Amino acid sequence: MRASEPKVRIGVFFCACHEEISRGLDMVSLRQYAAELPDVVMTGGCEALCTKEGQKSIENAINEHKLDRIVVAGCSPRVYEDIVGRALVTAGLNRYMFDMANIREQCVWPHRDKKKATEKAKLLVAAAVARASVLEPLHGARIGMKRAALVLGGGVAGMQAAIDIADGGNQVYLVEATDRLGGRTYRLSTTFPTQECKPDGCCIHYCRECILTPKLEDVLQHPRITVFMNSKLVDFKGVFGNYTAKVKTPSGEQELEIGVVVVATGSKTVDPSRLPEFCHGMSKDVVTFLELEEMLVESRKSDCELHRPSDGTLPKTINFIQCVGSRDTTGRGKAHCSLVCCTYAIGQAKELKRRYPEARIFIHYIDLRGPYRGFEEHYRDAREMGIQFVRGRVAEVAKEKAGITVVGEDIDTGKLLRIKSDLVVLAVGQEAAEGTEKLSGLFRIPLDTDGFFREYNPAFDMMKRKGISIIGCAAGPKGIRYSVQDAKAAAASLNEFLKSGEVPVQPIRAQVDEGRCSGCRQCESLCPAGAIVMKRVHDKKSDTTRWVAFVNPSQCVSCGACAMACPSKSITLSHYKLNQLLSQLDALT
Amino acid sequence: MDTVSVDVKGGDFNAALSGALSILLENKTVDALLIPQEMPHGGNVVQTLVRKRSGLKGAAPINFVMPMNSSKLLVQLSETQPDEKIAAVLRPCELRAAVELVKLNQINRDSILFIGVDCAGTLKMKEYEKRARELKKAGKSPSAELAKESLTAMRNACQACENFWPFEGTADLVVAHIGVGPGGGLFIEGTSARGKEALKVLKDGGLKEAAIPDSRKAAIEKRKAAAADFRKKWYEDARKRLGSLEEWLNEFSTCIRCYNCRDACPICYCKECIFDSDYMKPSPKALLRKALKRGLIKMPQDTLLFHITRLNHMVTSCVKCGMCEEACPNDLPVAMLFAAMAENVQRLFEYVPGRDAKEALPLSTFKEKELEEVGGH
Amino acid sequence: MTEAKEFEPKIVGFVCNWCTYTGADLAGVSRFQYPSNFIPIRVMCTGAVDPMYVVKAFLEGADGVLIGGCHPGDCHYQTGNYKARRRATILKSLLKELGLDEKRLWVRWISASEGKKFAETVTEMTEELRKMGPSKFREEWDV
Repeated sequence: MRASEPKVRIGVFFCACHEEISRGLDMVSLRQYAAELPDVVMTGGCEALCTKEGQKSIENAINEHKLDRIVVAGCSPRVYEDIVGRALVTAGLNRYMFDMANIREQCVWPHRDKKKATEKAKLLVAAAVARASVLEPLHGARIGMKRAALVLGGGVAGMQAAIDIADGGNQVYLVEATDRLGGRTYRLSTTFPTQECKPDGCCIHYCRECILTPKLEDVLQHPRITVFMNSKLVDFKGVFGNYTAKVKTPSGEQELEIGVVVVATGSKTVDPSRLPEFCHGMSKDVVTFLELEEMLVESRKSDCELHRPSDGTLPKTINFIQCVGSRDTTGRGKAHCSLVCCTYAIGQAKELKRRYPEARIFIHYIDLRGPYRGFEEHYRDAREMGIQFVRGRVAEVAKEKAGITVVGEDIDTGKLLRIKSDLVVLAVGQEAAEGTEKLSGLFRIPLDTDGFFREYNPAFDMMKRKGISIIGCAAGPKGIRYSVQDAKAAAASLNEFLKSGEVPVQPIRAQVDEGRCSGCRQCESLCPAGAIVMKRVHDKKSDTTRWVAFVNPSQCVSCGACAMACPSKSITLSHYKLNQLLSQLDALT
Repeated sequence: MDTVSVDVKGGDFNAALSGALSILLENKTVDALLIPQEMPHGGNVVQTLVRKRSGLKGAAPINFVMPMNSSKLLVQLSETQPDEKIAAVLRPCELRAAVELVKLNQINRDSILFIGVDCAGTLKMKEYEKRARELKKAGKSPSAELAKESLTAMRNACQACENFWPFEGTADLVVAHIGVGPGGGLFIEGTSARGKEALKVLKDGGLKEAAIPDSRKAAIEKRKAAAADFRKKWYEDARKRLGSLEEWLNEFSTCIRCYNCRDACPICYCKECIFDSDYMKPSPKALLRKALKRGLIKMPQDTLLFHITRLNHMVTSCVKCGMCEEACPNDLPVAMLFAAMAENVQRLFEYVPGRDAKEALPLSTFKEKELEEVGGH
Repeated sequence: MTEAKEFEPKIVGFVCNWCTYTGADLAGVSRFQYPSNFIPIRVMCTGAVDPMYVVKAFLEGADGVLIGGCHPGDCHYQTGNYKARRRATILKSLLKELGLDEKRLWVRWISASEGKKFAETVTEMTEELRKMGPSKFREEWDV
C-alpha cells in the first residue's frame, strides 16, 4: 500500500504580456481549464510578470495560498527563466520549483487562429503543471579548493604562469622534464623583434641569457614555487579543487595536493627525416632552424663566424626552406601552419646577411605569414638588405658531387630553379610534444585533429569546469609573446578560483544512485566532458566491492547523455528525470 | 603446436574431456572448474562448481540441453581482485554473451579461464527431460546417446544458429569436436596466452599434440548453410506473425509480465530493472486519472513498452541464445522477435556480438561521419 | 452545411534547448505561422532523448514524434546529436519491423537561427501525418 503523497500546491500565473498574449487566446476558458488541473490550488494573472509588480504578485500569491511550486504561462523560458527563479527565492521557495508554459513565442505568435491557439495553450499549461508537480528542489554546492597549482613544463609560458600564480599568494609546483628551465627559448640565440646581435660578439642584452635569466631567477628564488627538474607527471586523480598529482622525480615519487593545473608542455619540432627529400641527416650542411640557432650561440663563444659544418668555410649561398613539415598534405608532416617560422626565418636570414653582406640568401616560401606587430617592417628590411624571397615549393635538396643543390621553382617567374647551396636551413614545423596523448588520458581532455590539446570551447570551458588550463604551444603553435600572454591570462583566472578557496557546483547536473548502478560504464563512454569516472564501493551487507559510476560535479555540463544511455536510470540528470519527462507526455495525450 | 587430441575410450567423450580438464584442477592451474553435469535425479544438465576431481563423475561438458545461459553465473563468480582462478566450460552462445558482459564491465576477463566448446544444438527442456529419463532408465548415458542422433527437434534458436563454434580469439581454450567427434575424437586448442600455458599443462599431463583435421571446417560450413536456410524461414515467419501492431497484439496477449524473459537473458545485466523501479509504478492517483481520461486502461500497463524498451536496451548485444523463449511460461515467440530484430539492427552497424572483446558496443560509441541520411534535408 | 471533421494529427516534439527550441521561438518572434498540432517538450540535448520517451509518446497516442536538434557538428555539447542519430536509427528499425510505421518518427536538424525551417518542418509533418491518418495506438487499449 502506498502512503498518500505529500500535497502539492501549484499556482498557475498567466501573463498577459501587455495584451500580446491575452488578445490571442480565450483567457477565460484557459484559466478555467488550468484551475481544474490536478494539484492546482489557484490561478492568477497580470499585465506583465517580468515587471516588479508582476513578480510581487507572484510572491504574494505564494505566501497567501501556501504554494510550494508554480507554473508561469507566458513567454519563452529562454527569455525569463532566471527572473521567475529569483521571484521564487524572494518568496522563500527553491528557485527550481517552477515550470513555464511558452504560450507566446510558441503559441499565440505562430497560431493566429484563436480557437486553435487556446487548445494548444491548454495542453502546454497541462504539461507544465504535470512537470511542476514532480519537480524537486535543487541545490548547488561549494567544494573547498586547495590553494596550490601544478604547472607542467618550465618553458616561457610555464615560468610566467608559475610566477603569476605564486605572486597571487598560492603555492606552485613546477614540474620540468629536462634538466633546465627555459624550454625552446633557451636554444635561441636571439628573439623577434629584437634580433640584433652585433657580429663582433658584443652582448647588447638581447640574447637568451639576458631574456631568460631574470625570469629564471624569479622562479628559482620565489618562496612559493617548488621546482622539480627531470621530473614527470605519472598519475592524476581527483576533482577540481582537490587533485592529487603523482610526480616522478629523480629522488623518488611525490604526491602533490593541488587545486588547479596549468599545462605548459610546449611542442616539439617535426623531425625532418620524415621528409627525406630535404636531405637532413644526409648532408651536414642541411640544418634545421634550431640547429642554426645553436650554431650561432656557439659561434659567439669563438670567432663569431658561422662555419659550414662540412668543411668549416664561410657560407656564400644560403637557402632557407619554409614549411618543412607544416601545411603538409602528404601525411608525413603536419597539416597545420606553425605560425612562427616565417618570422624567425626572416630574422635568421637578416642576421646572416648582416654578417656576410656578399652572401646570396634565398628564402623559399609558399605564403608569408606574420601574425605579429612589426612583421611588415621586419620583412621590408629583409628585402632592402637584398635577401631574395622566392615563392614556390622546393621539390628537393639534392646531394650531388659538387655539393648540395636546392631544386625548386619560382612561381612568379615560372622558372624552375637549381641553386647550388653552401648551407640549407629548414623551417621545421611544430607538433604536439611527447607524452601529450598520455596527458590527455590522465586529464581527460581531448586532443584536436592535429594532436594538440583542444582549444577553448565555451561549452566545455576546461578551465572553469576542471581548473585545468592549457597554455602556450601545448594548445597549438605560437611564439613567445602569445605564449606568455596565454600564461598571464590563465594565471589571472586561476588566481580568482584559488583566492575564493572554493569551486562552485551548479545544481542541474548528473547524479548517480550508487545502490542501483551496475558499473557498466555506458555513461562514462558517452560523457562529452569526461566528467564520469568509475569508483569502487564496498557493500557492507554482502561484503563485496563493485564498480559504480561517479560524476565529477564541477565538470558535468548537464547534457543528459549519461541519463539517456543508462538502461536502469541509475544516473539521472536532475530537473530532467524520467518521471519529470513522462509526466509531460501523460498530460499531452 | 597449439592443439592436443583427447583419447576417447568406448565413445565416452564426456569422461575423456572431463578427465583432461581435471588435469588443470590437479595441477592447480585453476582452483575450480565451472562445468556442466548430468543431474543424478530427473533429466537435466546444470552447471556445477567443482574443486575436487571426485566431483567430476557426472560431468557432461558436451551436452544437449541448456537450462540457462551460464555467462550469468560468471557475473556472479567474477571478482576484480580474485584470489582463486576459475575455468568455465561454455557453449558458443554463452561465450559470446560473456564477451559482451566483459565489455559491459560485468565480468572481469582476467579472473576466468574461458573454455569454449563446439555445440551441436540443444533440445527444449521438456523434450530433453523425457528422453534423458528414458535413457537413464535403460542404463544409457543421455549425452552419449543423443550425440549419435542428428537432432531434428532442436530448439529454433539452435537450428537458426550460425555461430555454433567459439569465435576466434575470444576463448582461452577451445574444445573442437564438430566434424571429428565427439565420439570419434576431441581436440583442445590453446587460443590465447593463458590458454597456451594451460595447454602446456595438459601436454605435460599426457595429452598428445595433434592438428585438428580439415573435416571440421567442411562440417562447419555445411551446418552454417543449413542454419542460414532455417534462419531465413524463421525470420520470414517472424515478419508474418509480428509485422504489424495487430499481429503483435494477437501474439502477445498472454504476456503476463512475469519478466522471465528479462531474467533469463544474459545481456540484461541491470541491478534493478527500470521496470521494477518506482519510475514505472505510477501512483494510484495517476492511474485513476488516466483511466478517467481514457475510459479504461489495461492493468498492468506498458506491456508493449516493456518489450520495445528491452529491445532498445539489449538488441545490439543479443547473442540469439533463445533462453528468453524457453523461460516464457506462455511460450510467447520472444526469441523469434528478438533474434529477428537483432539481425537487422546489428547489421546496421556491422556488429557481431561476442566476436571481439575489443570491438566497442554500438551504443557506447558513434562516428562523426555516419548515418548522414538521418535528419532529412 | 456540415463541416467535415478533418483529422488533426497530434505531434509531440523532443526539441533541444540550444537549437531547435530556440529556433521555434524565433519562428514565433518572426510570426511565421505553422499548424498548432505540434507540442514541444524541451530537453537539454537530443543526445538526452531516450528512445523510451519516443515510444511512450506513440503509445500514449501521439500520431507523430519529432526529434529536433542541432546540426551534426554543431551540437552545443559536441556530440549529443551523434548519439541521437544512432538511437533514432535503431528505433526506426525496430518500429519498421514491428509494422509500427517508422515514418511517423521524424528527426530534423534545426538550428536556433532557422525559424522558417522550423515552421516549414511542422507544416510539412502535419500534412504528411494527416495523410497517414491517426495512429493505430489510439484505438487499442491492450498495448
